[in-house]
Amino acid sequence: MVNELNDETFAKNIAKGNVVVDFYADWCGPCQLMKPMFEKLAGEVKNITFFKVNVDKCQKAAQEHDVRSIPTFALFKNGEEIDQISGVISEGDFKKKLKAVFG
Amino acid sequence: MKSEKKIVKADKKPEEKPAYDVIIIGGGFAGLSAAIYSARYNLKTLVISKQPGGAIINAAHVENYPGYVNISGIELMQKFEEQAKSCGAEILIDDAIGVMKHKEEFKVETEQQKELLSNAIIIATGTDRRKLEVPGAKEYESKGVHYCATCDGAFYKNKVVAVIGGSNSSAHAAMLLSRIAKQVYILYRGEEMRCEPILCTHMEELGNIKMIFNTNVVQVKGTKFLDKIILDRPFDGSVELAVDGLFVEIGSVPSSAIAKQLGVELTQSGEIKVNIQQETNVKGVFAAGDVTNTPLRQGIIAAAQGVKAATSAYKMLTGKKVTGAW
Repeated sequence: MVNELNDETFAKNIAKGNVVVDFYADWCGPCQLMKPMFEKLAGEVKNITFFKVNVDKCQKAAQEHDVRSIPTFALFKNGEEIDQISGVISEGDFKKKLKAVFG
Repeated sequence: MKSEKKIVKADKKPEEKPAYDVIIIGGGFAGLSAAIYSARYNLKTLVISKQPGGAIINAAHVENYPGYVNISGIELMQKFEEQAKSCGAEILIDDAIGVMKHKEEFKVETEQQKELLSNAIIIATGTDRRKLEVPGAKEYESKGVHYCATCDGAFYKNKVVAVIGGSNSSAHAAMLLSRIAKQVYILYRGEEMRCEPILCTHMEELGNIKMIFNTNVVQVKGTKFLDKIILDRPFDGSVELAVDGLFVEIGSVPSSAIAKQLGVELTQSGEIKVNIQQETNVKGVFAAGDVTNTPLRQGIIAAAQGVKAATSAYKMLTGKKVTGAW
């Protein structure tokens, strides 16, 4: 289960610790494709908190983080955006990226 | 396919006997259609796909697949996947990075370090999008340069965008964007669009699509995001064209690296050479869909080729003929 953030709850929830946010939309095929993998990782990886943001409902958060492509996965450490991953990516490559950023 | 990657040997040794009669690499129209037929021939069937659904999942609307007046790409392919599974095919979400002949069988190595054996292989890996190779294109990818209008078009509400290419895909992208952006340019190197005539009519009706022919993009510029493109000939008196987004639809290249590893014969442009039964020059290796030297890259053609490939594999593995087949 990945919790959904909105424009009001976004800043507070990314402020502490290791956080990954999936910027997505319901009508986006690649977003739907990535969804099961993202939810699986959320259940497996313990040192990272996973959230999702619907860009249709939360345009402020998407704009503030320069999201112009979906799916985009933004990686935060204590509120600071460290990196972004855009598009469809394999589970192996996603894990490598998480390990490189969060250890 | 990432054939150059070296696999780290898994602790487990490969199975002694093939676990599968058929391994299908690729999960688009061709791969999943092959899986439906292969499973119904009672062949133990595995589909390995890094992106189940294939390239069509990026399409917001599919209107030319018989049986559906209008369906999204992802929804259509979810139906394919569901049907393949219901017939008994297994689907593994993983990337096949190596295939080799292993005694009389084939051994497939995956990115997640699995080693799987089968008696026959069907390659249905499709194509990869051709990237724009001009200065700035890589730097601004996802920051103004895009390869999926369906996914990224929504970020350009009331903005100015351009689409590169003259194909059906370009026309579909331009039409989708015309409903979001205030102005859409189509930039094409040819003298006229090569899409279906009905799409040209639709584009004219929309009123905010301007076509610029005999023109190439030579550079992409911006600051934080893309803000202009440089053309190789002036348009409205300038080679600079101010755009907020650039959508690239310049075709695709066959994903045939796996086939090459197996010694499968390719055309000069990298497509797998197949005969009418979808056989390649390597016994036990079949291919179907857009990765082959097919004369028409369409979902329904790929699906039909998948069916033929599965039938050929069945015939080779069992010696049995199928009524109505060759």
